[in-house]
Amino acid sequence: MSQNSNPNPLAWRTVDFVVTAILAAALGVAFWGFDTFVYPITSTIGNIYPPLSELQLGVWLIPAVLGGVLVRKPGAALYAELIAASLELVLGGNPWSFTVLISGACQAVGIEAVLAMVSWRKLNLPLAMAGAAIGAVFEVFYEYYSWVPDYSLTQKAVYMVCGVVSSVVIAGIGGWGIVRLLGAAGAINSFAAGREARSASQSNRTVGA
Amino acid sequence: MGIAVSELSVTPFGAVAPVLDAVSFSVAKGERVLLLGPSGAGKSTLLLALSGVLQSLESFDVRGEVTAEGSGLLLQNYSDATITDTVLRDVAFGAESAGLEVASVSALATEALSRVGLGDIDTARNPALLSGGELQRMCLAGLLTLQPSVLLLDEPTSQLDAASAAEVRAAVYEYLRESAASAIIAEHVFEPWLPLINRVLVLGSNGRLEADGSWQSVVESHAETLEGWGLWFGSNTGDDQRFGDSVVALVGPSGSGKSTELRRRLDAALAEGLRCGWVPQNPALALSGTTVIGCLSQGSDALRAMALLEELGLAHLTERNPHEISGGEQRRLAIACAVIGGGSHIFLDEPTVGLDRHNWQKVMNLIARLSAAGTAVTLATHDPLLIAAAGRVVEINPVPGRQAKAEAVPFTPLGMLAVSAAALVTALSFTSWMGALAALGLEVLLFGLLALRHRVFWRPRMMIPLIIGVASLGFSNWWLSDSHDVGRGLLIGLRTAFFGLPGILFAATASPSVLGDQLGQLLRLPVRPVIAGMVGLNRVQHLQAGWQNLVLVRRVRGVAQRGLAEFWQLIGLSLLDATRGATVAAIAMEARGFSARDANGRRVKRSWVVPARVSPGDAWLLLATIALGVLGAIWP
Repeated sequence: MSQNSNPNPLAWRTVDFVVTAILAAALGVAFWGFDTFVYPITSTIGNIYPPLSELQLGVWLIPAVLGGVLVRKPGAALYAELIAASLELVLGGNPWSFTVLISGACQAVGIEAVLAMVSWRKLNLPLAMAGAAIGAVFEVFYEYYSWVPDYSLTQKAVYMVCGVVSSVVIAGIGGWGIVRLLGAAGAINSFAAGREARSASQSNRTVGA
Repeated sequence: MGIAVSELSVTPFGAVAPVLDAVSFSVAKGERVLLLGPSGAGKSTLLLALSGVLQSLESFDVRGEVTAEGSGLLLQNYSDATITDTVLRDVAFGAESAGLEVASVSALATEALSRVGLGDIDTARNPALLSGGELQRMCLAGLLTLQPSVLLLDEPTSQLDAASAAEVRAAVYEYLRESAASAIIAEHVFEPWLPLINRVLVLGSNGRLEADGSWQSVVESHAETLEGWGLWFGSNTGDDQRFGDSVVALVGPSGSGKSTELRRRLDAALAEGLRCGWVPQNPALALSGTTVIGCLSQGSDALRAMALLEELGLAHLTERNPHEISGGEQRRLAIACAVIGGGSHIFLDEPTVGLDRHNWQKVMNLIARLSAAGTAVTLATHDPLLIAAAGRVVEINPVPGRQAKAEAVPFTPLGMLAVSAAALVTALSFTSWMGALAALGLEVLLFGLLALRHRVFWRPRMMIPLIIGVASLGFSNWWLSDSHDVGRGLLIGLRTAFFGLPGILFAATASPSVLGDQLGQLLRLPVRPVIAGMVGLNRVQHLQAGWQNLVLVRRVRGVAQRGLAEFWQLIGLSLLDATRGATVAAIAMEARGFSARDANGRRVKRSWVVPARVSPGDAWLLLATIALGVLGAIWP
C-alpha cells in the first residue's frame, strides 16, 4: 500500500505554498531590478511610440504562468502573482504603488480560468500561452481605465495587441519553460509537473544517446 | 510509545532501486539510537519518513507502516531551515502551528531558548546574524517548544566547528536526560555522540538494515564493513599528512566570518589579475549543465576532466545530472571545477564537510598535489585534521553581527496599504488637472514634512522611476488621444503621482512579518498562504546573496557567457537555487506542524506569538490622505 498522504488532490500542501512563494519572491526581485534599472530607460525610449512600451507586459505575467503550470491547484496563479507584486511593493522604486496588487490579480485571471477549464490537470504550452493571452486582455482593459484612458481607439487597439503578444511570448513560453527547466534539473520532483518534465528530459536523453 | 517501523520501503521518484528496502525496527521510550550507513544509504530519507514529512512531498513512493508520534526533526542545513526574521518568531513557529495559547507560546519559547544555552539572546535579533552554532541551537529550541518524545537529528553538527558542535550536543543531552525522550541521530563524525548512545542501527548501501545492537556488538560484528564504507572509525582517523606553506587555513568559530574573509582574499587575487578557482560554501552554486562531465569540461579538454573525476572518485557519475548527485558528490565536483582551469590561487570553502573517510582522503591528496605543484590554496574550514595539515593557520576573530536599529516610525504596513488604496480610489475620481495639482502639491508637502521628521522616508532615488513613469503617462495620454487636450494629459500624470507617492512610504515601513501578522490577525486572511508568503518575502536577502555568488563563481571559472545569454543562465540557475532552498524551508515548516490537522481532520487554528496592531499614525495619515483626495475630486 502506498502511503502518500494527500486525500484531496486540489488541497494545497506546505510545499506548494512555500515553493510557489519563494519562486515568486525570486521573480519579484527580478521585477524590482527591471522596474529600477530597465523600465525607466525602456519607457523613456518607448515614448517614440508609447504603445510599444506594452511589449514589456509579459515580464509581469511570468509568475502567474509559472505558478499555474507548476502547482495546478485553484489560486496557484493568483497566489504567485500577488506574492511577486507584494515584493515589488515592499522593495519600492516603481510608479505603481498599490495598483501592482490589482494588476497582479488581473494578470492571473487568464491562467486561473484555463486551469479551471481543464479541471486543474496538466497545462501544456498552448494552454499556458492561451492563459497568458487572456490574462493580458484583462490587464489591458484595466490599464485602459487606469493608465491610458485618453488613447484613441486605434491606439488602444495597438496597445492591446502589443500586450497580448508580449504576454504570450514572454510569459506563456517563458513561464512554461522555467518549469520545464526546473523539472529537468530534478528540483521540483515534489510536483506532478516536475516529475513529468523530469521523465520527459530523461527519455529525451536516452533517445539522443 | 516510541517508534515502530514495519516493512518500510521508499523509492525516490525516477529511481529504479528503493533507497530503503523493507526496513523494520522499533525504538522504545528513552532509547538513543545512532544511525550509521554509507553516503546515500537513506539515513536522511528514513528520518524524513519518521517525521511524517516524506509522505507529503509526493516525490517518493512510500510503502509500509511508520509510527513515531510526537517526533521533532532537526535538519543539517540550518540556514535554509530558518524561516522567519526574528529569533522569537522562529523558535515559536511550531508552538504557533500547534495553536497553543499565546502566553504559553512565549513562555515555552523563552524556556526552550534557555535550555539550549541561549537564555540571554535578544529574541528580536535576525537569525541571519547569529553564528552557526547559535543558529542550530535556535532550531533545536524551536523543536523543544513542542516537547517531542522522539528527537530526529539529521547531521546536526556537521557544519559546525568543534566548540559549537559540543554546545549543540550538550543541549541535546540535557533535553534527553530531563525528558526521557528517545532519539535517532545520523551523523558522519559520530564518535563525540557515543557516550550518549545506547544502540546503533546500520543501514547498508542496498537500503536494508545491516545491523542493530549496542555499539560494542556492532563493532565486533561489522568493523570491516564500517571501515570499508569509509566511516570515521576507530584508529583509522588522524594520520599526519602535512601540506606546504602555500596552503593557508582560515579558522574560527562557525559564523565568525571565515567565508567572508575567503571572499575578500579571492576578490583581492582577482583584482591583481591572478587566475583563480573558488568553491563557495554552497557548492551547488558552482554547478551547471545537465551532465557531470559536461559541467566539468566546459572549455577544458575532456581527458583532463576525466582524470580529475577519477582522482576525486566521481568517475562513475559522468553522465548523471550534477544537480541530482549527493551533497558530498556535489562538493567534490565543485572542487574539480575550481581546479580544472589550472589557476594559481585556489580558494576552497569547507572542502571536507560531509565526506566519508575515503573521499575525505581523496580531497586531502588533491590539496597535497596542488601544494606540491606550488599552487596557493586558501581554505576556510573547521575540520581539525585539515587544519592540522595546513602550512599556515590564520585565526579569524568573530565580528559580532550588528543589527542596524530600524528607525521607529509611527505607521504600520497595513496602515500604509490603506493610505495607498485611499489615494488610488480618490485619485481616479479627479476631474480637473488643477484639482489634481492642488491635491498632489499638498501631498508632497505632507510627505516632505514626514521625511524631515523620519529619515527613512527620504528616498530620492526611489522617486526617479516614479517621475519618469508619470511624465511618460502624461505625455502619451496627450499625444495619442483624439482631442490632444493638454489638460487631460496633465490630469493623468498628476493623479498617477498622487497615488504613486504613498507606495514609496510603504516600501520604507514594510516588514513582511509585521504585514503577515496584520493580514492574518486583523484581516483574517487564510493563514497558510499568508505565512508562506511572508517566508518568501523574508528570503529576499538570501536570494540576492545567492545571485551575487552565482555571478562571481561563473566569472572566476571563466564560464560566464556574454550579455543576455549569461543573464538567462543566471536567472535559471538562481531560480534553481531558490527552489532547492524553498524545498528545505518547506520541510522545516512541515516538520513543525505547519499544515497540521487535529483529530477530527480539521486544520489546527494557529496562534500568533506577536500580536498585530495598527497605530494612531495610520489613522491620521489615512484621514489626511482622504481629505486631500476629496479636495482634488471636488475641485471645480
